[in-house]
Amino acid sequence: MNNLYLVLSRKPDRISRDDYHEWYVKHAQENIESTGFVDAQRYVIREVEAGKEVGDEQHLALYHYEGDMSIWRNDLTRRIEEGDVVLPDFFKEIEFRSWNCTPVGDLLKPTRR
Amino acid sequence: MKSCARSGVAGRLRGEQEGAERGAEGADVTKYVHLVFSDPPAGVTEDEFNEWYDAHVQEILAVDGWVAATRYRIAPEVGADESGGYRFLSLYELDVPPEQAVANLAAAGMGNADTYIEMKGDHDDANDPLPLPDWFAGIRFASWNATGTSERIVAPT
Repeated sequence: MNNLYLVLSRKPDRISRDDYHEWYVKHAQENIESTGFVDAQRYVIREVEAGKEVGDEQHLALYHYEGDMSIWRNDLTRRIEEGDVVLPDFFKEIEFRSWNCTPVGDLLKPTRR
Repeated sequence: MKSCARSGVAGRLRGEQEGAERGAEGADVTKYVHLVFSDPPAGVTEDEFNEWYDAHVQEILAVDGWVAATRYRIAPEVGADESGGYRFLSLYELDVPPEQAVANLAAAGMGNADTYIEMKGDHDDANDPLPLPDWFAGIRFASWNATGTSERIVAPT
């Protein structure tokens, strides 16, 4: 089982939804060029309370990676410092929340249905 | 071979239709995902929580649309102050859009923590393979529906 880096984000108001997605797919592709990453997938997400979707639409990026998080994190930091990865001017306005996720067990499949 | 994502609403709608078809064939179920963050109450050990939660996941996976799950131990990185203090994540792979999957769950009495408690209260504990833990009401949950906007992006090998 791969480890998972989970990134929730909320785009800046001044950036359109289409522009945000267009940038983010390039950003995700660019990120996973760093050593350790396996794949990435992006989602639009909404919180659910009592079975109903509530709140505003946010963005989710799931990055699967192998080994220690420091491997890709150090490489990504280096690439940003060297100008290989260029972040857009609105990057600092994005509200990010992220978690490092380590599997508790194997993929669970139904044992009976 | 890397896949490039489509962007824009039209692309997303196309993607959703394709995703639904793929899901029906069982070939790709990561298009639709449901996330549940959780935090067990104080005094419940991680082993105790994990043992119960793995069994609870089987109750969820018995419902239509809920295909597979991975459970994670999680640690906040960016925006830790806003992360809610959750320590665990269940990531469910769905083969129907998440709103439908959540409706199916509600129909099975597991739409939220309150209905789950009611459902368990109606059962005879002796015949229930997974009785309600007495600490269940102390778990904090946060749930999210997720719909893929892009194909899986694969890292270079």
